[in-house]
Amino acid sequence: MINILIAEDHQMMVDGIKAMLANEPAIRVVAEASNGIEALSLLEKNDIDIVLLDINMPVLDGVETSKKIKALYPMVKVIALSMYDEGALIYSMLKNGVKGYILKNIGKERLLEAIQTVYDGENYFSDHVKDTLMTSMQPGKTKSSSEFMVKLTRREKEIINLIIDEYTTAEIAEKLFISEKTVETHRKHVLQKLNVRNTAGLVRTVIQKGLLD
Amino acid sequence: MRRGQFIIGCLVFFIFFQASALAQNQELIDSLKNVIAHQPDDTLKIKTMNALTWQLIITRRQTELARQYADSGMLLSEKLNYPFGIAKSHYYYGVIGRLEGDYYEALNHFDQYNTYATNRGDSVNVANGLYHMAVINSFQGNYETSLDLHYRILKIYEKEQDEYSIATTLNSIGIIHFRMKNYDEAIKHYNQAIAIMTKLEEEIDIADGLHNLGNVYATMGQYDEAITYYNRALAIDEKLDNEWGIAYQKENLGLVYSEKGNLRQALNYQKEALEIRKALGQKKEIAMSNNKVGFVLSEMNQNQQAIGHFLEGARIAKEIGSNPDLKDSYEFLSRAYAKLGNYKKAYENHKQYSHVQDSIFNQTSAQQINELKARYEAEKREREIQLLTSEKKIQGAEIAQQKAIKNAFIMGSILLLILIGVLYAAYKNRIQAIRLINKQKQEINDQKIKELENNQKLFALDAMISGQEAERKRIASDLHDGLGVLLSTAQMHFNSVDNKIDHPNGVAMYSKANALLDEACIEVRKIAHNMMPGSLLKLGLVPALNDLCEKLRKEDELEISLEAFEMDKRFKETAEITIYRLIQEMLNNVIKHAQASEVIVQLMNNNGNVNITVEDNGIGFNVYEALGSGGMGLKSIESRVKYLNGNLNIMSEQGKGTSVTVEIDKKVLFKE
Repeated sequence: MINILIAEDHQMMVDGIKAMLANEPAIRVVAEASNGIEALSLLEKNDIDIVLLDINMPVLDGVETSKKIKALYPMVKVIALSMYDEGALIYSMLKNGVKGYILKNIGKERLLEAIQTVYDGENYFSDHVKDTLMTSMQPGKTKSSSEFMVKLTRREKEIINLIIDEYTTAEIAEKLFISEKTVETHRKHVLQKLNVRNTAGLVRTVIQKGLLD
Repeated sequence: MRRGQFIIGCLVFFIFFQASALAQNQELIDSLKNVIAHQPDDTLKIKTMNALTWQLIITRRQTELARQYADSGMLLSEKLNYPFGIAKSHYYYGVIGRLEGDYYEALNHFDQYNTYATNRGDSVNVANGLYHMAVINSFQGNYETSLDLHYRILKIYEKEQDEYSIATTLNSIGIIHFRMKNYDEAIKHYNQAIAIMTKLEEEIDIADGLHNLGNVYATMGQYDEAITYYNRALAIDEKLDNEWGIAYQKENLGLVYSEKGNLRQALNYQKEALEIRKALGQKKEIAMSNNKVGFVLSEMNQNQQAIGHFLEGARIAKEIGSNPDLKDSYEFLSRAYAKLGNYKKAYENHKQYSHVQDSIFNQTSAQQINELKARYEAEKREREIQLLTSEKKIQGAEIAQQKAIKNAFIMGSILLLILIGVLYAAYKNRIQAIRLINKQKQEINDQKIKELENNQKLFALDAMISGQEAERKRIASDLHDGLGVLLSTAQMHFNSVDNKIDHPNGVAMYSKANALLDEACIEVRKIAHNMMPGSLLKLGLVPALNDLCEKLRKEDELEISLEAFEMDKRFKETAEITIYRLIQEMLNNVIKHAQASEVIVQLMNNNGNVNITVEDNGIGFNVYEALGSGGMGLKSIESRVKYLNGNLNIMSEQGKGTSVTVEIDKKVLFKE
């Protein structure tokens, strides 16, 4: 028997899901919550296997709730149930430990498939979500070809050229009419961008890779 | 090698301007001139004039024209009562004066600029102005004044708790003490700077400080100390793989060993420096190093080899147009030939040497004459004062007794006069003070009225933008929670019909209807997303921008790189939405007009400011014309930047692409 908690603030939706699961002998909806806080307190009182979790909810939304569930009830599996198909949201839910991500217009068969798959310990995503996952890149990491070709802005190039010409920070600031602090921020920023430790590495990398025009 | 020469070698940097940069610059200047001709007399025109003045200044050849535009900017600013414009013109006059060697005028203007910056409480810009003044005073040889100014700069940075700037200022103070031959003070300040840089782990700057310390000890003749410091700097440079730094340390080590008479060691160091510089391809330094290697060889009486190096040095110096190095090469060549007894060649090279010397003299003579004149006048005044006092002494001794009574009488009268004078001055001061207070009150009132007007405008803008975004948010949420849920539930129920159909046509119709429902759901999601991206509200600016860039990459085949640095903290919602729209609008403009293949979007969290850059490699456009004609894209960008109280800066060159930067005060982004 799979025990389900539905966390969803639209009663119409809850009823729809319950109707689809009604004739399934192996699945039982044991609790309903209309926001994240309610869901968390119901998880404490009930023995739940899977949470069907809406993302857009009042009081505590699905993003925050999934984070808390992962921390407090690591054994409970979460399937995100959402209207959103944006890559960043999908990724942040995955990061928060959800095992499935399905869109709300899912049919009965697919819903049962999702619940069974996740219950068996595997991940499940709607086709549309899969497409988004395949094509969009993971946020936070550098993307596509730009991973190999770092690009510098004109201001950064100006500053590096002056560094190569042995200008000091104060002289660069004076020449470009910006504060020394700004020059420093740009410099540190370029170090991060090029993944080098110091100015010497910066100059070497910039020249080796031909990043200045 | 004489010490003077090596100190200058260490301290003076020569600035070269590339011809290509100048050509670009000229294009910009021409287009700015064009724009000014069509602008009405408002503050925007002043800004254009300022931009033009600055462009003319940095060509370093058109300072006369720059002065004329600074004049026009000043006149218009005065007419419009625009203090920022007036202050800016003073700044430009100062820089022009500094470039033309008209130091007295320059100092005067920086002083006025500083008064303005001080009144606005803009201490960092005060430090900027003071820095120019300090540099000028140092040029003039007024080291004491330059020191005073540096200490004032130091105080400002100490108040700002800007440790890095404190350290660089301490270093500059050390350099001035060094020039004043206050070696103990120089050492003290260098050490302080090094201590701070050590704390900040700025190793390059530590090496710089150690190098400076080495120079002091070398000049004091304490060669062993100097060698220790150069070696420490060398160790840091070697750790950092800082090749050109290594070359500098080795060069100076070579010079010290020359002074100590250890020519073999000196030669090794100079040769190593030369090899490093050859590998780096630094032409000016290669010329310098050739001269230095040659010099040591010549000291060792290996004149034939020395001449080879001098000739190479001369060839490169000529190629890059570096007269000071060329002069050295010819001078040393002349001496080396003389030592070999080839007096004809010695004479020829000496002639070349004199020729270069003359042209260097012509280049710098204007400034030197000004400097000498200023020094001469200062000395003259001092002498006059001395003369006056000594004359008085003689007279006083001769007729002291005779005039004792008369003097007492005169003294009495003078005292009385002074008393009257003091009373009158006090009275006049009081009247002036009252007038000044009234004027200030008037100014404060004007300021308040202006502020109110501005607030009114901002308030209207605020209401407009936040109203629009609130409405979009409401529609998006209606779509999600209302129509979206309805459609989804409908499809959910419809899906369950699936296995209850037995008519063959029914299956096809069922599939068709299901596909349409699916499409409807996608459409609703898309519209809601365009209204207000869920990731923006739930996750924040950077993830939402990531999605946006991903979408454009796919749809428009545009190579977009998005970089966000230290942007983990969320801003308040309205600010995040506004920045998102701003960048969206900028990217739309790029796609619509720029014909670009690459775009960089960069968000940078930068002490107190958030800095946004969107840069493309497209066809570029004429910024001033576009701003004037008020295209919708630019208008909405401008109004959103204004809404965030930010600074918008657009740089565009035909054929080179466009770079738009926006700077926003962080306070605006966090406060509710």
